[in-house]
Parts: sequence; C-alpha cells; structure tokens
Amino acid sequence: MTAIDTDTVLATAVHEVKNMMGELSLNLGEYHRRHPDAEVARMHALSRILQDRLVQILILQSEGGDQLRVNAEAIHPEELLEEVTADARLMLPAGMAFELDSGVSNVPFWFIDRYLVSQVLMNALHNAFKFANSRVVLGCREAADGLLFTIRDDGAGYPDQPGFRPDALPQELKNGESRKGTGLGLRFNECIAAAHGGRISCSNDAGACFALWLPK
Amino acid sequence: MYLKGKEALIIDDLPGMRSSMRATLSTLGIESCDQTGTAREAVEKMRTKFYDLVVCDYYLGDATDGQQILEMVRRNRIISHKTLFIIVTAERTQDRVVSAADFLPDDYLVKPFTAETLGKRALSLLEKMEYFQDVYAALDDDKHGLAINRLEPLCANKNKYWIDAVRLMGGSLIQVERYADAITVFEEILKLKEIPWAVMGKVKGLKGLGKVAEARQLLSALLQQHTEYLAGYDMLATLCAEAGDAEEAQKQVEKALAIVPAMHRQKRAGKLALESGDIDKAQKYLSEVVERGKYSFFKDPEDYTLLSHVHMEKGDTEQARSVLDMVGKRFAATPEIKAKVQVLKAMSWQKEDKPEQAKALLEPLLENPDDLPESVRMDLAKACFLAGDDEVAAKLLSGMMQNNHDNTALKEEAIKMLESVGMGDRAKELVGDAIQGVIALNNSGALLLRDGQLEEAARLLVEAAEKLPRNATIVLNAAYALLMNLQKSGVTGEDLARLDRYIDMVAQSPNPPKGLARVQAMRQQLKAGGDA
Repeated sequence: MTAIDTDTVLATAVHEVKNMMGELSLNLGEYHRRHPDAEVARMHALSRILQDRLVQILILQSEGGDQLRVNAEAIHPEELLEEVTADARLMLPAGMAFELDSGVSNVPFWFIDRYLVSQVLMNALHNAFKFANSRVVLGCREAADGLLFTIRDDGAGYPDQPGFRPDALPQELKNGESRKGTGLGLRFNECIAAAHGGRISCSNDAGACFALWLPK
Repeated sequence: MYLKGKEALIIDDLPGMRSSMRATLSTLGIESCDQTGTAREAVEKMRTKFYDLVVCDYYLGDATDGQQILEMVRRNRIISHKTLFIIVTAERTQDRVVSAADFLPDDYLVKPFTAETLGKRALSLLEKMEYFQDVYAALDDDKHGLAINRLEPLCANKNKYWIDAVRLMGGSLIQVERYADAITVFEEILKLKEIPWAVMGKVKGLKGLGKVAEARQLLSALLQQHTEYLAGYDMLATLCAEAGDAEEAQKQVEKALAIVPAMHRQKRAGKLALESGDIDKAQKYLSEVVERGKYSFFKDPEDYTLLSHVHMEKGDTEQARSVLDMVGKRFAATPEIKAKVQVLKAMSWQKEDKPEQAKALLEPLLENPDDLPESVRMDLAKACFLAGDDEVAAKLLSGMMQNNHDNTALKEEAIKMLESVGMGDRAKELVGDAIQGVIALNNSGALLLRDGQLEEAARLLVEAAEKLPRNATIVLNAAYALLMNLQKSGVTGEDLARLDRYIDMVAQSPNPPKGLARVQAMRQQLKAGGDA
C-alpha cells in the first residue's frame, strides 16, 4: 500500500464536493425556471455561493495564494461589469435594490484575469447583499492610473473600521453575525488583487465600501 | 431570449451535462440543438450541418479533449469563422491549458456558469463577429493580403476590438512573410503588457527572419514567467529540432507533457526520442500513444508505423509486423498507408535475412514509385539499398532530391538514411549533385529576375518548372516570374492560365513553400488591378 497524502485526499474531496454542489445548483436552477418560487431561488443562490467558496478554497490550496497565476487577457471592463451584474441579480434578495454605476464605457480594455476578478466581485456582492439594508451599488471608474471597482451598501459597515453604525444593522443580523466570516473571502480577494499588482480596501461611508484597485 | 433561431451543437461525454446544457441554451432562446458525446460524431455533424454555436466540454474521456476537436475542425476548415466555438472547462487549470494553446476557441467558460453568463458572452461574440466579418471572410478564404488591407483601418481605431484587430494583423503578416512588420505590430501590444501570445507572435517573426538565437532567448524568458504556456514549449521544441538538437527538443516537449499529458505531444516526444536514438523512451511514448488512441477518433496510422520502427530498432521484427498488421484492422487503408506498411514489412523481413519475402512486397511498389509520397519513397529507397538494388534506390533518391532541392530536413534525412545502409560515401553524388543542377537553374532564373530581365527569367523558370513539376519551389518561382512579367507587360490569357495552374500545383503539394501566401496575395492584387 502506498502512503496516502492527506493534502491530496482533502483536495480531491473538496473537489468532489464542489462538483456535487455544482450538480445540485444546476438542478435547483432548472427547477426554479420551471416552477418560479422565492424559497427555491434562495436555495439556488445559497448553493451557488457554496460552490464559489469551494472553488476559492481549491484555488488557494492548489496555487498557494502568493503565487496565484494570473491569466491576463484584454477585457472590456463594461462587459465584465454587465456579466457580473447579470449573475449577481440571480442571488439578489427580494426587495433589495441593486444598481450599476459604470464610468468606464470609454475604457476599451484592461488586462485582467476575467475569471478571478469576477470571483472577487461576486464575493463582495454576496457580502453586500447580506449586510445591506435596502441598496447595493456596483461601481467602476478609472482612478490613480488604475481601474477602481467599488461595492457600496447602506448597511452598518465594517465593525473594525471607523464609521461603523451598529444601529444600522439589518434586523435579522442584530444578534451578532460577524461580517468577518471565516476570512476565506478576504484572503482570496487579497491574493487576487496582489497577483494583479493591485490591492483591496474595506472602509465605511454611510455603509460598507469594498474597493478593488487594479493597476494598468 | 438573445439567441433565438440559432443552431447549436453540444459536445459532452456525460449525458446529464448535455441535457442541462440543452436546458441552459433553451432559456437563451435556442430551440434547435444537436448533441453528441464523441469526437467522431461531433466532427461528422459539423461537416454536414452549419452551426452558429458549438459548446464543447474540454474533457471528453481519456484520449480526447475539446481542444483537439477545435484544432481539427478549424485546421481542416470544417467550420469557418461564422461558427462560434466555446470550450467549457471544469477547472481553472484546464482553463489555463486552453488559453495557452495554439488554436484558440472564440471563448472559454469555467464551470459553473449561469445561462446569463453564457448568453452575454455569446452575444458579445456575435457582435465581434459582425465587426470583423470582412476580415474573417478573407481569412476563411486564406487571403491574408486582403485581410491585411481590411485590418488596416481597424488597427487605427483604439476601441474594445483593437487588441483583436492587432492580433489578427500580426498573424496575417506572418502568413505573408512580412516578418519585420509583424514584429512591429506585436511589439505594440508588448509595450502595454507582456502577453504570452504577443511574445509568441514576435518569436514567430524572429524565426521567419532567421534570428533563431534571439527567438529562443525570448521564449525561454517567457516560459520562466509563464511556466504553463504550452504553445511556448511546442515552439521552443520546434526551434531546437530545426537546429538539429532532437534531444533538447524532446526535453521541451516533456516539460509540456508534465503539465498536460496530451497524446499528440507524447507522439512528438516519441518521434524525437526515436530520432535521437533513445529507443527505450521512444517505445514508452509510442506504445502509450497507440494504446490510448485505440478507440480515439484522433488515432493516426503513423502512430503504428513509428512504433513498428521502434520494434525493428530493438530487433523484434515479429512485433514490428504485428503492429503493422493492426494498421489494416484499425484504419481504412489508403494506397499511401498500404504502401508504407508494405515497405516497413519488407524491411522487417530484410532484418531477418529473408530477402524473398521482402522482394515480393517491394516489387509492386517499384512499378510506379512517382505516385508515392516522399515519406514512403525514402523508406522504399532504403529497402532497395538493403536488398542490394543500388541503382533502383539511387534513382529513386536523386529524383526525390531534385524535386525538393531546398528541403534541408529531407536532405538531412536522406544523408542519415544513406549512412544507415552504409552508403554514406555516395551522399555527395546522390544528394549533393542531384540538387546542384536544380540550384544552378533556379539561381540563374533569380539573377535574371533581379536584373529586371523578366521575360527571360520567366522563360527559363517555366522551362525548369515543366521539367520538375513536383518541385514546389521551382514551380513557385516560375509563378513569381510570370507574375512580375504580367505586372510589367500586361495580362495575357495564356500566361495567366499557366500562372494559376502553377499556383494551384504549389498549393496542392505536400509541403507548400513559405512564399505561396505572398504569391497568392500578389495574384489577388493583379486581379483587383485588372478589375478596376
């Protein structure tokens, strides 16, 4: 018998769970299309978030966050934003307003890894949908010789940043769910920004503001 | 409902994935949708029916992947640029493989993705197709000169398609051998970012200019940064092999194999190992290719003939013949394949010292040796030498050399072959002298062209072309002289017909020389001028 390497087993297992989750997600999406229902929509959204989390675990594990390989292509930022917006709408909670504020229609292209950057934006959007009271805005503009994506919500903001407003926590989160979570999303986002030579920031300005800046 | 009325083909080996993709497409308005799980059927369907959209999974079982299907249908013009080909990958690692290949899909998507994403991508690809439609039409007809003209205004417009326009421009410039211009174009991209495909474009330009050392240096630096850029290893292997360093070439292919164990690279590694005399490794790679390819659409008779060579090198002639017998069972035998198998079997009998068996196989082939492709004729000549029919062999070989006087690889192969049968001392006579006469003829034609004696040059080269109609370089030079002459003295019907016939002959030749595209582009312009 050969010795079994735990890391490999774990990676394979996560992989399998991710694929199963993918199948479940597909089925839920399909079911929802045939029988539109708010409860099913919520389950579908949750399964997709889970799936994304698993993908992120795998990427961090297999590529070792610091040497994340960026597959940079010339991407039209506006198209990327539209794609992410359409995807995010599928998991938008009922009653939440979601807007796109693009100031980049004149930017022809930017060299980025479309897949990884979409993952970062989706991560931040999941978060914003969860902690906003009623409104989330995805913005993008050129800033400081780079491309600046922002995701703003009208919730209480980041507890560890100045400007946190505990009173503004959405009703169902008042019992203390932390905005920090496991730290997976944050670590993933940091790695991807760094691999592009960029950075992320979290600040409060009448709600939380997550920003991803990518240099030229 | 963005895609209403479009015809789609789904390629995936898992029935469950096919039906969920079908459901996804139907939410986008696609009602007409074919599906298949095998490469063979996929290619057949694309051959017989037009599809607006092909969605192909990357992983299609052990021996086949979506990339191979894409390469096959694009290379053989089974689909044109009017068909969108999207590859779906299960992992980000596969996604990197696809983006590092030589033939790129129109797009690739990493699973999981939503119908919305697929729809948006398809829509923007259709928009892009419309933007480039005139360029694509020229490329689909192999008219690179025309494509360049059409791309010029697009390259001046720095909109969201600028990068695509520049990339297409660079590719077409390489095709018509405007290497220095191509390098300038790719460098424009490299000023913005070190994008692997742009580096690769520059490398191709440098290679075309003969600056091999610089090309190799640039590639090695690229591969240090982008360790998974497969097309880079392939190119580096080509540069090494062309410089006669099969061993280093094999090492580069092996690096790519360590990333993705693709069958076509195993075969290449096997071939290179055979060439450099590493028979054990050759056996390892080629046996695996034959084994993996058993049920694959992408198996090739050459996999078997190469493996039979390996067995012969090892002295196992029986095994060599049994591998050759499989060719008849697994492939529809064309006359070429049959001939190749016959020659190799004859050689195996010669190795066993059974000349009668060998002779029975060789004699029918010697009746019309000119009809055989070069690869078979080389082996046939070798077998004749081994059988002691030196004069027959010599005639075969010098004829081949005259028809390919500028093919250095073939020349080297011929010399190696002569050495392997102990005829190294006849290399000068059979290879060198045979070539010399043709070179002299060709050179006098070229000198006349340079001096502007176009009519005389055309006359001389046409005479040479009629004498050596299988020599694609001579025929192409004759076509070039005719073109120059026609440009200067006006178009006459007879010369024009001859010119077109020559261009056709060159295009049909097994290894069209590099200048063909340029001559075709010039011919195109001649027509444009005539029409005006």
